Amino acid sequence: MTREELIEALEDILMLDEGELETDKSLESYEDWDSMSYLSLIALFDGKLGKKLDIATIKGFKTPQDIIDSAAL
Amino acid sequence: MHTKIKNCSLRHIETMVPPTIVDNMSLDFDEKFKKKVVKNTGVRQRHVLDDDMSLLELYEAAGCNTLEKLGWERESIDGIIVVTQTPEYQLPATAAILQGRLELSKDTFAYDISMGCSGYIYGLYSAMSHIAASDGEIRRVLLFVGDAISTIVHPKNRSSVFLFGDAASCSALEYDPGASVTPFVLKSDGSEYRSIIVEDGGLRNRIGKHSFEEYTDEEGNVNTRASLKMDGATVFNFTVENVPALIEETLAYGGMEKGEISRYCFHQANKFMVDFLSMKAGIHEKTPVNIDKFGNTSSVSIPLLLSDFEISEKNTMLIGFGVGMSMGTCIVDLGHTSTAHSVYQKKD
Repeated sequence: MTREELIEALEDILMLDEGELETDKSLESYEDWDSMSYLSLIALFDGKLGKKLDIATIKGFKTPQDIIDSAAL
Repeated sequence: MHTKIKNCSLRHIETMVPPTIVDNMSLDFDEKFKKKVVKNTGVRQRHVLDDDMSLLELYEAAGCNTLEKLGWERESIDGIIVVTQTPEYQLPATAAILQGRLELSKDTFAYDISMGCSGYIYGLYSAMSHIAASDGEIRRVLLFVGDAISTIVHPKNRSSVFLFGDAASCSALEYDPGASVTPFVLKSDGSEYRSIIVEDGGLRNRIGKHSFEEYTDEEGNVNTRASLKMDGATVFNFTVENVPALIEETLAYGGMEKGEISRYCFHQANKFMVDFLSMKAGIHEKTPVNIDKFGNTSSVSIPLLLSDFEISEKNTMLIGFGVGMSMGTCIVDLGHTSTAHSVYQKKD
C-alpha cells in the first residue's frame, strides 16, 4: 500500500471527499473519528498492511500523520 | 476443548421473528450518521418485540411447528433446552415454563443455558451430548435458542441501537446410529468479560434507582447501567485475533480441507466484521450474510441464517463468537435437515 492509497483509505474512513484530509489536523476535530472508524482502521492495518493495531495505540493517535507514521510505509 | 459427537442428527430448524419491523433510517438520529452506521453494520432493518410481547410465544409457536413438521408426538420428547440471555424471568428457567406451554411429558428434562453469540453452538453441543452419552436412551431433544437484545439496549445509545434484532428458534435433534460425526471446538476467554455486559441486575451489582440514571460514555453514547454496554473495538480486536485461527483449528480437528466445507455460517455480528473475517480466512464466496434483514440476533443469528438460506448441505461449519468472551464452532451435516422460517402472527 502506498502513502497515497493510505490517505485515500483514511479519507474513506473519516467520510471525507478526496483531498479533504489534513494530515496535521487533530483527529478529534473530525466528526467521524469514532469507535466505528477504529474498527475500520484495525481492519485496514490487518488486511492491507499485515499489522496489528490495538485500541490503546489508536487512542494515542493525535493526528492522521500519527497513523501514517505508524503504518511505516 | 475438542470433541466429536456421534449418533445424533439435526432433523429440523424452525425460526421465527416478531412482526414489527424497525427501519434503521427511520430512527431519530442525524441522516449522515444513520447512513454511515447502516453502511458499516449492514443492518437495514430489524424485527423487534412489541412491549406487550415476549419470546415465549415465539418459542411455543416454533416448537409446535417443529413437532407438526416432523410428525413427532409430544410424549416422544425427552428434553428441552433454552439458550438465551433474555429469559422470561430471573427465575424459574424459561425451559420449565415452555415444557408446560408445549404440554410435553413431565418426564421431560428442561433447563436454560445463559449464552449469547456463541450460544447456538453450545446449545447443539449440550443437546447432542445428552443423546450421545445416553446411547439413545435420550432419543429426542428440542433446542430452543432465542434472544431479544433490542429490549435491553438504551434507545439513545447510538453505538448499539441500530444493531440488534429479536428472534427465536427451535432445532430438533434425534438419536441416529447412521449420523455423521459432528466435531466441536469450544473456547472461552473470561478475561475480556467486560467487553459486552449489562452491569446492573445480577448479584455483583444489585439493581437500584442508580441503575436507570443516564450517563454519557467517552464515545458520546448515552446509556444506563441496566442496559447493554458494548466495547465494539475490543470485541472486534478479539474476534480478528481469534476467529480465523479457530476456523483453521476446526478444519484440522475435523480432518478436512477448506474446500470440503460447503458453507461457513458466521454469527451475524455486523456485516463489516463478517466480511472481514471471511475475506481474511479466504472463504468469502461460501459465507452467507443476512444481517441486512434481521440485524444481530445474538444466539439466533446462525439458525436464522440456516433457515433463511435454506441451507441443507453436508459439511456446514457454524462459527459463533462474542459475549463472554466465548467462541464455538462445529461442522454439522445438514444433508437431511429441513428448515422453515416465518413471521409470528399475534393471536387476538
